[in-house]
Amino acid sequence: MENIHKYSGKQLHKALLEKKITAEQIAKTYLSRAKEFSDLNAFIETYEDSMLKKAKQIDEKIKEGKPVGKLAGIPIAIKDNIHISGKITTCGSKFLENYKAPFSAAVTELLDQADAMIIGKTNLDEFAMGSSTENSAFFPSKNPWNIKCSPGGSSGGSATAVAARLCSIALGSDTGGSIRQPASFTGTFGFKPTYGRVSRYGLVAFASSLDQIGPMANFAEDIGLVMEVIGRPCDKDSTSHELPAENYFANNTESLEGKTIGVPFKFLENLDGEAKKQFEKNLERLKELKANIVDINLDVLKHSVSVYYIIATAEASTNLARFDGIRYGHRSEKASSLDDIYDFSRDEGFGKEVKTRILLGTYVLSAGYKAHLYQKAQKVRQMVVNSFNKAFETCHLIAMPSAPTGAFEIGAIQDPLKLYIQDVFTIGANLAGLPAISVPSGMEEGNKPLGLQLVGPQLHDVNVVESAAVFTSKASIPPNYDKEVNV
Amino acid sequence: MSDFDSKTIKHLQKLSRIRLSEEEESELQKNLEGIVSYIVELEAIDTTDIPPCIRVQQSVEKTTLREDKIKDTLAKELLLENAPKSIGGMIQVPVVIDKE
Amino acid sequence: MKDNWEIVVGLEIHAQLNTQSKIFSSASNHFGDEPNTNISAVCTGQPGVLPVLNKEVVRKAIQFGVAIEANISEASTFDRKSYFYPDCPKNFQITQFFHPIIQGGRVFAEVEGKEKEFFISFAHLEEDAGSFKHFKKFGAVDYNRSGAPLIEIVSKPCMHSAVEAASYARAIRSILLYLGVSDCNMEEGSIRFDANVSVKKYNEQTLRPKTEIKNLNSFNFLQLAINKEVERQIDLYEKHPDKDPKDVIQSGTYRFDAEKKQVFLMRSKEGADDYRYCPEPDLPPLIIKKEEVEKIKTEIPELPRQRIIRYHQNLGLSLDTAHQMVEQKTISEFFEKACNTCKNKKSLANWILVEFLGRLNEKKETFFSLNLLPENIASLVNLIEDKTITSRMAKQIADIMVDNPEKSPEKIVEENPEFKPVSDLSTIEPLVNAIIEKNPDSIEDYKKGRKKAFAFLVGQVMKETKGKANPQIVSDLIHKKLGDL
Repeated sequence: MENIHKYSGKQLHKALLEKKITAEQIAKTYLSRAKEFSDLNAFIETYEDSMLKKAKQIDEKIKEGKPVGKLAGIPIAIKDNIHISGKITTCGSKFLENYKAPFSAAVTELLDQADAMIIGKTNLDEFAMGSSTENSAFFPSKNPWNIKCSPGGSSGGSATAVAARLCSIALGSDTGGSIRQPASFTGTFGFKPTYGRVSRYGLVAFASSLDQIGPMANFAEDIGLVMEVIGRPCDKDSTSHELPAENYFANNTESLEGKTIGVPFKFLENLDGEAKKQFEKNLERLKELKANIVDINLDVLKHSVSVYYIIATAEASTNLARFDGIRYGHRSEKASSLDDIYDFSRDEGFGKEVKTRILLGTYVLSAGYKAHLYQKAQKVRQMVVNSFNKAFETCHLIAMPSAPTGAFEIGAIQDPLKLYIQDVFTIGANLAGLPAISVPSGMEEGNKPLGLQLVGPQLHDVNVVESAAVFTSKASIPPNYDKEVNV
Repeated sequence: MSDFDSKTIKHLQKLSRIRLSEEEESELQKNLEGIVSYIVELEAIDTTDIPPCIRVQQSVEKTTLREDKIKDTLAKELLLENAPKSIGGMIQVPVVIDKE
Repeated sequence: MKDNWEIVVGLEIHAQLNTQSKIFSSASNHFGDEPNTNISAVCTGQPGVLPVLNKEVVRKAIQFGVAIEANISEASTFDRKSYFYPDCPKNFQITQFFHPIIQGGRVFAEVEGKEKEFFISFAHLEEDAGSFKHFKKFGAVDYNRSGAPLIEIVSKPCMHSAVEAASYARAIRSILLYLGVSDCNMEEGSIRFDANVSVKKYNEQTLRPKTEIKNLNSFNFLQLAINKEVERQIDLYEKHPDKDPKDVIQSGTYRFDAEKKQVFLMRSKEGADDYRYCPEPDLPPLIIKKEEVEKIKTEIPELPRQRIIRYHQNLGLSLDTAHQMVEQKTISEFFEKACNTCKNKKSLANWILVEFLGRLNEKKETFFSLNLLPENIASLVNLIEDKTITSRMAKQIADIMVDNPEKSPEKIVEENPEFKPVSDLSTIEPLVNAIIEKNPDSIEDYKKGRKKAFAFLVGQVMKETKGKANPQIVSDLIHKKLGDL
């Protein structure tokens, strides 16, 4: 079998079962690619030994005719804010550079039980705070389509790994768009499930009421495959849904006939340039697929960045309080008193963006300042929820661009506020806990992919992913993912 | 607006236990001033009769509760493995004067 | 001077609930083990962990709410209270600030012989901190206690003396014990008392600044500390009669030094933490349906007050004795077992609370550490009732029982002939005659109808025989002789 890296995870699994290939061959191929393209800085750490060990186990089971898990033979990368027991979880931060996870995340255990081969941990913006991986304490990741550009963030390392075929599937986390925006920038699929669909146990929390783990892949079928494994109830996560796992692609839908897709035209009125042209083309494509397009009102989303940066930073300021140099992580050498340990360890261990957000979150929760803003943000959040609910009365899905532009150059955006505004199309789905996917939808000049975002009502995950698959099947707008990636 | 001044950022450092260097303090103060002046736009929105969003999930009514059983414990060695300093099986810190 | 001043006290009581596992972590909720052996990733604040609420903690809290006739919230929520300290693994505590599980409620407590009603403002659930141990050159943290389930019970400022505060505290503790929801062990720290103390002039409408005295771990210290603090505040006000009360009393958290018997300022309110309370996003609202509360109502065991009333009305114990008996739950249960075979419950109560407890306390033992059987105490009382032995003999037998707890009183009597009362008429009759001759006044009194005179005569004979004469025989003899006169 040639060009193993061009296959989908599902195809690899099938080939494995048909004995056309061994798990060891797959593992070796991808490990060697990861080495070859290490300049892309997709990974913080690769697990050659444990991956090959797992591959051997799988091959033995196959040889002995024993059953193997659904993900057997599939190389999967995990964002480095998700725990694997006994391995380091850095969260892209100096603070946790040497932190050995004492337990595995729920999703890690599920992947392992399904016989996935974990290739390594991917790079991210520190503590998932950022839109480009430039906030990683270690290095920025590079966009395989255009290496001067960022792959987006915070799940940029995962996006790079997937787009450059260094793994079939990668897990990311999405709090304000951190899976969808990098997927958009790298021409891959990136899915954020309904809030509570995937367990957050073992995901280092950024903003508890917004975070979700989700898959990134080159093929929609792989998104569905992984969701079947990780989209389960978890008794260690009180916000987890009690619903059983769902089947994806049970019916081979080939059109969007009968589906109504809502577009918030007024909210999108400032979209311009290539992104605008591409989006209009996408709408044509949707119509070709027999979807019915309607106008919906999501004007309230113009406030979504403000709401997000109040709620997310408030939650983050408390979630990150535990990083104090006492029980684990970086303890400052120049600390002589207990107070010093807190003050210096946190100053030294955290990067600028993390500190900014902690201070902002502390500010909005503190009695002396604008504590009323926090309550206000919670109310406007409810308005966002209400708006989506109203919109879904007239449509099955909502379509929007994933990002206002294609990938920007590393170092190009210095003003943090400008970076925040990048998230304006994605934040809404986090605020309302909705399933949302970014689908490769076209290219901007300079070899920069663009993405279309589809959002569904809560618990309509299957519909969202399947519709995304339909959009790209027999596509007349060519996303380039089936061509050799030019790195 | 100078609501976010140097006094503010000094106080916030105290509350959040981060001691910034002087240059970072002035840089972050500027950035935060800008961010805060952006987000206060929410104040102008009319939210009468809108309840705060307490729970994102819309379809769930009951509470998640756990059986009163001992499980999923952490071995002492695993706790101490990541500890910067430990002594006698406990996490060690500098002496503190004010006792509880 | 002091008479112008009214004392105002409120108590905050923290009680650890005695579940198997902790409130949000499934680690063991057990006291006294090696440091950091009862922990999980959750209660040590590892990155990536999430809290999950313990069902049994909720049930015990509802039981308490029902016992104090409070309102159980249909939807209460959890919140984060932020502060940095090594024993606080997440540097925030999960508590219930905005919507507590229990609202209102009342208890009745005995205050100097009279029953008084006290009111609870609210009670909520929260997690305990770990133990920060202070050594000479370093500090060390043990997370065994971190995440232990606490119920915090906050009273209204409705107590007006240290005695009232102690009575209220006793009553709450009793209820928790009788429900079986907490060990209420003050030495182990499974129940802690904080007092909020202020004074005001009787005619004043508003309350003056209060001070908080923390971690008073005995009822005596509680009373002492409150009285000391009241004294201190009154002194200050009288020294500065024209100053604004806020400037006279430094609001803050105080500590009571048991050795020096003084109250010291720990933390002033000016440097007070801004706790930045915000909703706990990892925990959904706690929904409690009415049916659940009703079911728990039917499962509540007999509460202290009910038991006191029962002992008083059904068993004839005085209120005071009933109170004493009920306060110590295990002893009350011992008493009830003994009651099954005992002819005189009042006497039994006395023998347990006074005679035996006195002896046991001296030896630093308990009924249970020695495995004394309730039937045996009952037998002893019965032997006295039957006049098989004298009460003086019974005291000696009690001494022997405490030293030989496996022996029944019958066995002891059998083995010790001096415990058989003298019934030989030839020995007793001359003594009776002698006593009657010596006490003509008593005979006069007796003839006048004074029953005490008769008892006096019996007593005198018993004295002569060093308590060994059979009291029934003595009594009969005297009766006969007096009748003959």
